[in-house]
Amino acid sequence: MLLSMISCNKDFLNQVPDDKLTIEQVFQRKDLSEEYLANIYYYLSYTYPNSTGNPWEGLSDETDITYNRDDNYYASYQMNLGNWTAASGYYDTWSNYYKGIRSASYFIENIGGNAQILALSNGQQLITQYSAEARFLRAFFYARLIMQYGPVVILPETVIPPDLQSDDPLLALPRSPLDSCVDYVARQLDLAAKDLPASYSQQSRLDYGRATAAACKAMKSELLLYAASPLFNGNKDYAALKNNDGTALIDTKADNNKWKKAADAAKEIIDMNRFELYKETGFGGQLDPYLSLQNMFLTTFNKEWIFSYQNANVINERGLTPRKASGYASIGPTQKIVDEFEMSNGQRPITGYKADGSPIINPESGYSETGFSDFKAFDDPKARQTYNMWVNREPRFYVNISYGGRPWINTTSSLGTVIYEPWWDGESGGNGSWDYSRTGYLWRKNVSPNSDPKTGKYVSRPLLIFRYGEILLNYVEALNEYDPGNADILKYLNAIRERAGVPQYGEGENPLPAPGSQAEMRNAIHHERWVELCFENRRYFDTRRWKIATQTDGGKFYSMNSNANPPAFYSRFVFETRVFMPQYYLFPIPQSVMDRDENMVQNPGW
Amino acid sequence: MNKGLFKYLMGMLLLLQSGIAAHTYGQVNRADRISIRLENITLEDAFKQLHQKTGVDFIYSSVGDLNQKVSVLASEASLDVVLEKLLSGTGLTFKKVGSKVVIHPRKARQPEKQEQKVVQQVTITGTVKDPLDNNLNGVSVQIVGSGQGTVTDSLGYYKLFVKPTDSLTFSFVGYETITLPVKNRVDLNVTMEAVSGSLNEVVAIGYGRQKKVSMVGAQSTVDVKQLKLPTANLNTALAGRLAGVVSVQRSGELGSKGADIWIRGISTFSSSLSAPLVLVDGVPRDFSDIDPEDISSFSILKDAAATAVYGVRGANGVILISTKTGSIGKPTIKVRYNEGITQFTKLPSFAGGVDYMKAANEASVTRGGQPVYSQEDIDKTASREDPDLYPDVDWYDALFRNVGHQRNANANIGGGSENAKYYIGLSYYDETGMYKQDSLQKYDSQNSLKRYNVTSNLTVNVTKTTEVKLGVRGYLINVNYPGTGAGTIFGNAFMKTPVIHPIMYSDGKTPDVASSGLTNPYAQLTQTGYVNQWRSQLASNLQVTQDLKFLLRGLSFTGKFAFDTYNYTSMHREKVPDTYLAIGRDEDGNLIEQLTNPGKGTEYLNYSAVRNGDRTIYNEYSLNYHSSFGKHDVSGMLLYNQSDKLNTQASDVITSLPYRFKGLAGRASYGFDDRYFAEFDFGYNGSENFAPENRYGFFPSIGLGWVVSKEKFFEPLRDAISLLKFRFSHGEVGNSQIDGSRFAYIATVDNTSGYTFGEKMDNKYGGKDIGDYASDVTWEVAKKTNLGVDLDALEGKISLQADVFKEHRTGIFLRRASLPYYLGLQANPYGNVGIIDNHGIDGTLTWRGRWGDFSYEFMGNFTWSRNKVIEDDLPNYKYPWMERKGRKVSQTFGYVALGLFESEAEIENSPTQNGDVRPGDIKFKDMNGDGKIDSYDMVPIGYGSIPEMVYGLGFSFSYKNFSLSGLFQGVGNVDLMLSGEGMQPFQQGLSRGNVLSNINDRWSEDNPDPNAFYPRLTPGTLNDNYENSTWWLKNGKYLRLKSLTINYNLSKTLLKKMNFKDAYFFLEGINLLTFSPFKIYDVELGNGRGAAYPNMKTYAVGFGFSF
Repeated sequence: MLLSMISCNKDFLNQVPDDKLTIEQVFQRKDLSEEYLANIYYYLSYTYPNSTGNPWEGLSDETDITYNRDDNYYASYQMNLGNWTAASGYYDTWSNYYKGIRSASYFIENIGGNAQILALSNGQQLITQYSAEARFLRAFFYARLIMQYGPVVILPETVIPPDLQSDDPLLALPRSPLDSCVDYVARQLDLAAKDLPASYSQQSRLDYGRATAAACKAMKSELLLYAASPLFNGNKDYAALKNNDGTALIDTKADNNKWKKAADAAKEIIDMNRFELYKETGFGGQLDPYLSLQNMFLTTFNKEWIFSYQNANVINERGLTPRKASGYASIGPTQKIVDEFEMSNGQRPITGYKADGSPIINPESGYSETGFSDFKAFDDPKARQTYNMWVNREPRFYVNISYGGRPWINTTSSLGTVIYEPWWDGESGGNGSWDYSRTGYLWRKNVSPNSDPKTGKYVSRPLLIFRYGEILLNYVEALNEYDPGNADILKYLNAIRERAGVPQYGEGENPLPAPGSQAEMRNAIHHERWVELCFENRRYFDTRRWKIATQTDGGKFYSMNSNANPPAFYSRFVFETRVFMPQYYLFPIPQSVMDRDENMVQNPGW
Repeated sequence: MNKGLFKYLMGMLLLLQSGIAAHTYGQVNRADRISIRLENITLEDAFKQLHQKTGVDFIYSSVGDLNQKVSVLASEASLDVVLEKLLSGTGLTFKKVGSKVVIHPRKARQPEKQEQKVVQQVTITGTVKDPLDNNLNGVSVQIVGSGQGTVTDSLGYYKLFVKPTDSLTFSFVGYETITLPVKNRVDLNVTMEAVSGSLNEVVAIGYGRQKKVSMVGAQSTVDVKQLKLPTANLNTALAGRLAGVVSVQRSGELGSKGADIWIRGISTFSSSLSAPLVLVDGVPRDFSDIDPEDISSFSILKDAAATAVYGVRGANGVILISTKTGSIGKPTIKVRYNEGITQFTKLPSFAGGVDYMKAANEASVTRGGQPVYSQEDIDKTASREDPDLYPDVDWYDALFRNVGHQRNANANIGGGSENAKYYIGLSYYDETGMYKQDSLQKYDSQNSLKRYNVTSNLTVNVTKTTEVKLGVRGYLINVNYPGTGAGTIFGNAFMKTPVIHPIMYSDGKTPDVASSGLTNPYAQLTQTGYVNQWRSQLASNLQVTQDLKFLLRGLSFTGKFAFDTYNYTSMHREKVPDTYLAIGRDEDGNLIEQLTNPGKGTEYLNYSAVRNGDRTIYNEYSLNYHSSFGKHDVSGMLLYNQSDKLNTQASDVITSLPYRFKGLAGRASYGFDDRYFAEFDFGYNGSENFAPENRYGFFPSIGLGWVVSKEKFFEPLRDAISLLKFRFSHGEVGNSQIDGSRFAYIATVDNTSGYTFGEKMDNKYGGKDIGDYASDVTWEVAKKTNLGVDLDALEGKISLQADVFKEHRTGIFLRRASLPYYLGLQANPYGNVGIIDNHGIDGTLTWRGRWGDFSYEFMGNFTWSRNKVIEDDLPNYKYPWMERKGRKVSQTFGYVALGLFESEAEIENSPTQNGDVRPGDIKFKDMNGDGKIDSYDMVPIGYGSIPEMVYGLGFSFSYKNFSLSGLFQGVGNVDLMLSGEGMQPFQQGLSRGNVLSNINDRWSEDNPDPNAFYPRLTPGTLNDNYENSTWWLKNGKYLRLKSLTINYNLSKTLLKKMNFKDAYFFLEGINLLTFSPFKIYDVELGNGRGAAYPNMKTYAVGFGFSF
């Protein structure tokens, strides 16, 4: 009787719905396949700068991010102190990017059979395009892994099944040598570019943000520049980096031709003739560098845009808003980047630092660190008492830096004008809250004057990943290395400076003398690149690929004295002493990754 | 030496001297001759000795003074002669009935003369049974006041001539005596309950009941009287009361879930998946909100024999609770009431403003920074001249009152006739918490709880062979909270410095710094509205038992149907006050205040709500068989059950599907002569979580019992040790709880983050990706072995139950962890890959006795268990000390602190440590000898926050009408890892963070104390001082006076006058004293910094009566 009771309701436990979505169905329907593809795009978030999840700003010498110092959230604080091992697990993008890589490969493998898409008149073409998008994304993720970790594991095209026996060789793949990693990714980008529209301007407005041939080329330009730079081009420090079978992972012979490849890759984009620097004009048709620089980020899909990250509101505008206006007021530029901006006359205010850390002031610049002047910033309706350090600087300074006493960028909110007060007892000061900037400054770049954290209103816009300005800087840097003196170098360097509203080298109004030697030009290019691309997640990578991080990223870091009130606030102050060890040029392969692959070798020094 | 024991030993000696072997139990041979010498011992002892010698059972309940002293000397005399001698002068005589001897008053013969006078005499017959429906042979049935009586035969049958107005008294050794009026009845069937704790006692086991003597499994039962404590949550009353229960309570907040309970520790990877199965009246239900007054029995089942019938749900042990039913007799009304005050057991205390400021300055200056506070600031704070601008706030003082209030009332009525029994209980519980209130607010933001319970059980014998039971039970709970959660309020008290701003400004404005949200804890408590929560449960069960003796004697069928509903509604009425910060005073001395949260404050209370609910339908059908043939006792049970629980507020498809379960359970047991027992139990059931082919599992267990004290060879010891029993069990139980997920055998497609295209970011796609890969998994299997001993000695003065156990749990459900990350799996597939061993001991020792009017009882119980990870599918770590395998589950890892650095030279010569390292900072051990301290140097430290050892020491004394009882509960092999802002000074920098009052116990340049509590102060986490290390590891053991009760019973004469059965007054205390080496906060809160609502101390006074 009892047994019959069990058998008569056999389905009692079989209640899992048959109509539950399966992965096979995902690849039979158009909308679901497109959602799968959108899911791959999402992994771009590990690249791009919400300042919270990625260390590229917090670890760079231009920014301090310290609020909420829990080990795995803003871990850059611990890393800057040198508290870092392979087992720390900081910013382990390895596992995240490989998830994106798997999803992309799975997509490429399966999208061809999508019956619903194939039934469309342009079905085959759509499948080709979607495959190319996935291929671009996969290459992009590999490229970012290479920039962070060096040589990586290049996986077979076919997706590895999840349920292999633990002794399967596919579960113990080694890293590939750097050159073959770079070649593979570059080839994949070329392959993808063939099947993609040239740039967003060839797409429907609803498809803006999808991969384009230009995006492929831009990624390739960045990766080849990385591969050509001293870190990876003949770096003898990595002679010992070999697989267990003896395969060297980084070639210790320098190859100047890599610079040519990098320059050519950048030139390809210039030669597309689809992009130009974004410029706005003011009264009388004059170029307005302030508005040009500020709105280059805010006017979406202008001519400078190549590729953007499209998920809304990832820039931490709230972290750049005074506390009184409901912000966190926490992401602080360091004194180093403040010092790097030129004066309005194009002169560098500070040419170096003395042994005690005090600046060597360029007497020709007109720069002063004492006293106050009445000064009106471009976006301030009136002049205010301003510390002389921040008076008469180049436009990029005012567009990029909020300093103490300057109004919050949004002056039209219901709060009216909110003055940013970074000193100890100020409204965004350290007393009573950890939501404050230890440097006494806030980023201002790419903050919309119309965003208002108090009302939760943020002007949603895509975030730039690649812009034409960067491509020009890639080009001139690579060109100067393999063909110094090429006229293109000055041409494009001056193009950047012209838009920035600073005197150009050897031409235009009040020109500066053009740098003479290849080395001088290199210095000028490096400086220009930093000032132009600051807070755009480039500085971390530049200091590493140039192999200068040993000088730039360790030691005492200065800021305004945020532990004090005015007048003591207006003085240079060591907010942090950072540690940079030679092994930090590359992230450690996470110990958890090492532990799960017997053929994985660790980066030197870790 | 105990006097009684001495006498027993003397008696035994005499017995041996006489050289006569004792006779087989239960048989009387009149021809037998006895030699015995008894001198000046009590009559009762004399009967016992005679029983020892002859095996004859004496029935002598309610026959006058058994303590009178007698002497007898007999040589080769018959039992009759001995008894006549013995009873001469005692006013008693004897009568042989079958194999037994009934002792009764001598005047018993007189009534024969009166028989003629009685006009209406009737014959009454009936059967006497035990609760398991066994016929009781040899029960004395006496007519009250007449001395007439009889004894039941082997079928439990008796027959007497009585007057309709008579009452009958049923008495039997080991059972509670019952007196019932005849009331014109001609048949009177009686069920006798065994004396609590005796071997005949019937105890609840999985899906059934059993005599205690025949139990082979490991289980503990708590005397439910001990659970009647003035606390809101029943589960908080369990710690220390039952051997085998490990319990910790991490919050005393009203309405929180109370204590976490594990049976015999933790044997799987997550403590939350180790929770026992709880059955109330046989149905899976939560028990924390039952009023203890309504409970009739509470047991925990620990080993495989006891839990195998629960199959895949039994591996973590089972808690069995049944509620009260009525018993035959006039209605009995019981009332109990108490009222008390509550206090925090222990709050951390914060440093004063001046100490805080000096410490902050020291932290900054001695690390090369500037002082944060000027001398002027410090002086003005010290002088308290302007508390608006120079405040000095003790935030806890600002938040909490000194006492809370508690009240509990219960009334119940029970009774019944032979055909119907009923019980109805009503209770009310009310507790008000410790928060301060703002008298200006119109709403109540106190933390308070009110609970109303109703329990009713009805038993009806529809026919002679059909019994119907209906139970309906429910509760309604109303909890109130402040608009901000306790965690946030306590956290902010740790975040705010004492000098940041006052609690409130003198002009009534609410102070706070500019911040993304409100941070003033006092304002959070009093100015942010309130949350009001209603929870209600209705649980009902209907059970029909049909005796199938027409098919087979001893066979019965039971069907059970239960229907439960649960509802939860939480209404939030919240607001944000305008906050200000004073920056100075104007010329008139008025505060200059700036609005710090412009545009965020609200005047009105917002509304939002959270709702939850479920309903459960449960069915159970069983066949039971029980029969005795001579010395053989056989029983069997086969049961089918299924349940269907539906989340009525589910938010997605998967959770909307009912949670289902079904299975079979069976038991076959055999007992011989109450001496040898064997039992086979099984569960055959399944979990919907697994694929059909892996769904059903068979979980068998065997249990063996041997009552050594019944053996012939044990007889010489029987006077001293009345019971010695060994139990052994071995078997398998399962656990199908898999990490909260359902249907592991089906691959899933997850909605992922997706992406947005379009110029205006106006083309949003949801994301799709594989979520979980299908995995061919099944339940965990726990192989459990238990060896136990039960011992009663010295006439039941001492009893011991002790068990050693071992568990080997395999196939623990885990995500495979050894796959390389470049596979890029969304989530690693599951596998039954984990293995954990657990072993331990638990036991209870009771010692009770009396001297005249003074009686005492001591109880001690002890639980120790230790688990070990055998396999976790994690790859090998770089260094052996980092290995998780071979350690305890959730082992804490950290640095080994060698002390504090004494000099720069010592730092130079030591392995490199991270960050700013100076004398007074913690020096760590370099485990791998690579010259630097990093995470490779972290080793297992400490026992962890769940105690390995739990013990209880209970005592109870009574003298005449007074009694005093209490329980000490303790834990050992447990640690606290201190961490967090406040506990670690300036951990988040100098901008925030309170410090504790022991801040002056620190290393400083002026006072380089190597044994200071705090290392050199640090502004922020500049180095590894605040990493987990043995420096912050503290012993978390404690001994707590968990409860203490003084009771006064009204005298019998007074009760009679008032017509009461019972009346008493009591004083009761909970958590009155705590002894622990750790003094900073309530040690039971565990790791961290004690920033949680602590456990409560309660003082209550009350009374109760019944009539």
